[in-house]
Amino acid sequence: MRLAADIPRRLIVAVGGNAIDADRGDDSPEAQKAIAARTAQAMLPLLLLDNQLVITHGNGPQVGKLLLANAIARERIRPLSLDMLVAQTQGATAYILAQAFENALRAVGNPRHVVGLVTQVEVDPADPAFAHPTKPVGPFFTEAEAKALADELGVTVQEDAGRGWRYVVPSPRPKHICDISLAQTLMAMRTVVIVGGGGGVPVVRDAQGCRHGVEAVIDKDLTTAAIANVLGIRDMMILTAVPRVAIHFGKPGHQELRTVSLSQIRRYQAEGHFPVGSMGPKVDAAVRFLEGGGRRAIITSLETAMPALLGETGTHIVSDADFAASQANGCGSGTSATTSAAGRP
Amino acid sequence: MNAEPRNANDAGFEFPRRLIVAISSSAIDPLDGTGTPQALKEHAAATAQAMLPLLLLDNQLVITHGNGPQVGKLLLASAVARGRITPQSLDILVAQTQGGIAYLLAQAFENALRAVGSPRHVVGLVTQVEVDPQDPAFAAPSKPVGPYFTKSEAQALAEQFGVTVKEDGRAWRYVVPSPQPRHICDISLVEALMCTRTVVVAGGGGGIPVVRDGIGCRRGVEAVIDKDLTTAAMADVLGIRDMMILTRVPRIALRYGRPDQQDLGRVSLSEIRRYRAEGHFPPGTMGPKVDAAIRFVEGGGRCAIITSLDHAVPALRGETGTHIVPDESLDVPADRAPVAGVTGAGA
Repeated sequence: MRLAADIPRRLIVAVGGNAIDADRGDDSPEAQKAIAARTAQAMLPLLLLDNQLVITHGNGPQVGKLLLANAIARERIRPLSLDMLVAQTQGATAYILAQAFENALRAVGNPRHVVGLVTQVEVDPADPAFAHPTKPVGPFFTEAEAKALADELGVTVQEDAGRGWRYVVPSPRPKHICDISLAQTLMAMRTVVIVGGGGGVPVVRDAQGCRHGVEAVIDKDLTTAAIANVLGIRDMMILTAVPRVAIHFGKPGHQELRTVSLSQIRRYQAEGHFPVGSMGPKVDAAVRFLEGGGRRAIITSLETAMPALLGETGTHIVSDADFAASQANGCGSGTSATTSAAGRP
Repeated sequence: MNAEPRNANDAGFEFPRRLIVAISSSAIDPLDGTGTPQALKEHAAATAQAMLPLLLLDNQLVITHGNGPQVGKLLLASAVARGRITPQSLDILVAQTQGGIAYLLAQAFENALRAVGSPRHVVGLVTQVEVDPQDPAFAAPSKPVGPYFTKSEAQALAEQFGVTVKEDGRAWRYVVPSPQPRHICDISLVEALMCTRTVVVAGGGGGIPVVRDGIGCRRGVEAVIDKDLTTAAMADVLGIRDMMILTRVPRIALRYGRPDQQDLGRVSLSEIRRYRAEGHFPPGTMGPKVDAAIRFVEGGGRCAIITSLDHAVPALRGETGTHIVPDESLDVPADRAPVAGVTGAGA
C-alpha cells in the first residue's frame, strides 16, 4: 500500500512519438486513434490523480511523414520550413492525444479537461549544433533521391547506418520555453496541459525580442526537463519502450537500474552505456532535470507508468543526498523500497 | 443593454472590453500555394502590423482564423503522395492547420508587440468543435474544399478514398459536409487565458469537427465548419458582445459590383435579414459572414462589424465598416450609440 503522499503534487510526463503512431504497419487515421486510445488507457490512472499534470510528446513519425509529403509533392506545393511542420504536428498530435485522454476520462465519468498549446522554444543561434547538423529526421530516401532533394531544397542529407539516406538537421539545446506562464495558469486549474510537442517549435530571438523560426529539431526530453524546471515541477517521468534503463544493454552483464544517484548515472553515462540514438537523450534529460532542481526522474514504459510512480518499477534517478537517505532508510519511501542494483560498486 | 462600461485608451476612442476578431485565411496565405515559408511569414507580419492597434488595446481579445488554402495544400499533398504515405482524415488535417497557423500568427503578433515594447502574450489553442451527427449537412456534402483536380484525377481520388468530388466551375474539387457548430469544446480554457489578458488564437478553420456519443466521448468527422459561425458561437458562450469579421472589403454592399452598388454602414438586424432574404449576399462569399453576424446579434451580441483587415481599427472607432446591431440600438442617438459616427446607408 502506498500513501497519497507518494503521489507528486506536480508531475510532468513525456510520451514518445509512438504514443499515437506505430513505427511500422497501419498508420491510417483510425489506427492512429486506436493507438492513442490505448495510450490514454495506460495513462488513465495518472490522469485520474487530481494533481497538476503536464504532458509533452515526441513527433518523429509525424514530422517524418510531413517531410516526405513535402518532398513528393514539391512540384505542386511549395515545401514548408521545419518550424512550420513541427507546429503542424503539434496541432495534430495535441488533438489526437487530447481527444483520446478526454474520452478515457469521460468513459469513467471524470470531467477533467485536457488542452493542447502550440509551444515555441528558443534556442541559442550560437549553439554549436547549428554548425554541425547531426540529427537524422524524416523518411529514408535512396541516394539519388536524397541528393536531388539536397540540391533542390537546400537540405543536408546523410547516409544513416546502412539503412538509406535521410535529412540531418541541427539539434540545439532548449534555452527558453516561450509563454510558459500560460501552461502554468492552465495547470493550476487542474487542466491536463499538452505542451512542447516534438521538443517545441524551434525559434531564435533577436535583440528586440522578436522570434524567428529556424531549421532544427529540439530533443523532446531536454525540452521536457526545461519545462519542468521552469514550472517548478520536481517529478518527471519519461516514457519509453522499456520498463527500466539498463547498463550493458543486451550484452553479458545486462543489468537493469532501479534507484540510481545522480553521480552514479553520470558515471554510467561517461562509460558509454547509453547510446546517442536511444537511451542517451533520456538519461541526459534526467541529469539536466536534477541539476535544474528536479527531485526524481523516472524512466519507464507507458504500460508501467503508474506502478513506476508508486515505486514498484522503473528507473528512478535521484540526487546523491536522496539516494543516501533512501539507502539509510531501507524501505521508507516509495522509491527507496526497491533495492538498488545500480548502487552496488 | 448599452450600459456596459467601456474603456478609453490613449487613442482617444472607446473600445469594447471584450472583443472577438475573425481573420480570413487570406491574411495568412494569400498566394494560393506558391508562397515560400519566408513569404508566408512576411505576410503574417503585415497582418500583425495591421492588427497591432487592436492588440495594444488592453482588452480581452480572442482571435479566430480561416484555413482554406492551408487545408487545401495538405489535401493536395495527401493526394499526390498517397502511394507512399497513408492519407490523413480531414479532422487531423484541420488540427495540423490549427497548429501551423497558430504558430505563424502567435509569433507574428508577439513580434509586432515586442517591437513596440509590449509584453502581451499570444497563445494558440487546439480547438475541437462539436457538431450534430444528425445535421442535415451530412446527407448533402456541399462545401468545396482543397485543390482543383482534373476530372480523371478527381474520379480516381473519389474511388480510392471514398471522397465526394464535384465539378466547381473550371475544375473538380472535393466537397464535404459543412454542419453547424453546436458546442465549442473546453471553451472555459479560452476564457481563463482571455481573462489573464492573453490574446487567445482558437477555433482555427472553424474548429476540428467532432461528434459526441452518449457517454461524452468524441470522435472526428469528415467535415468543415464555417469559421464565422464558429466565431459567433464562441462569442456567444464567452459573453463577448462585440465581434469583428475581417474580409476583403471595408463594407458589405447591396447590389455588389453594379453601378447602383450601395455600401452598408450601420444596419439593424431586421434590415440585414431583409437584404439577405432578397438575395444580396452570395453563399460563397458574404453570405456566411452575414449569417454569422445575424446569429451573433440574435444571441445577444451588441455589434457585429464586417470590414477589411486594413480598416479594423477605424471600423472599431465607428469610422467605417458595416455595423450590424439589434433593432433597438438604431433608436439610440448616434453620439450615445456604442459605435458612433456611421450613417446607416441602408436606412
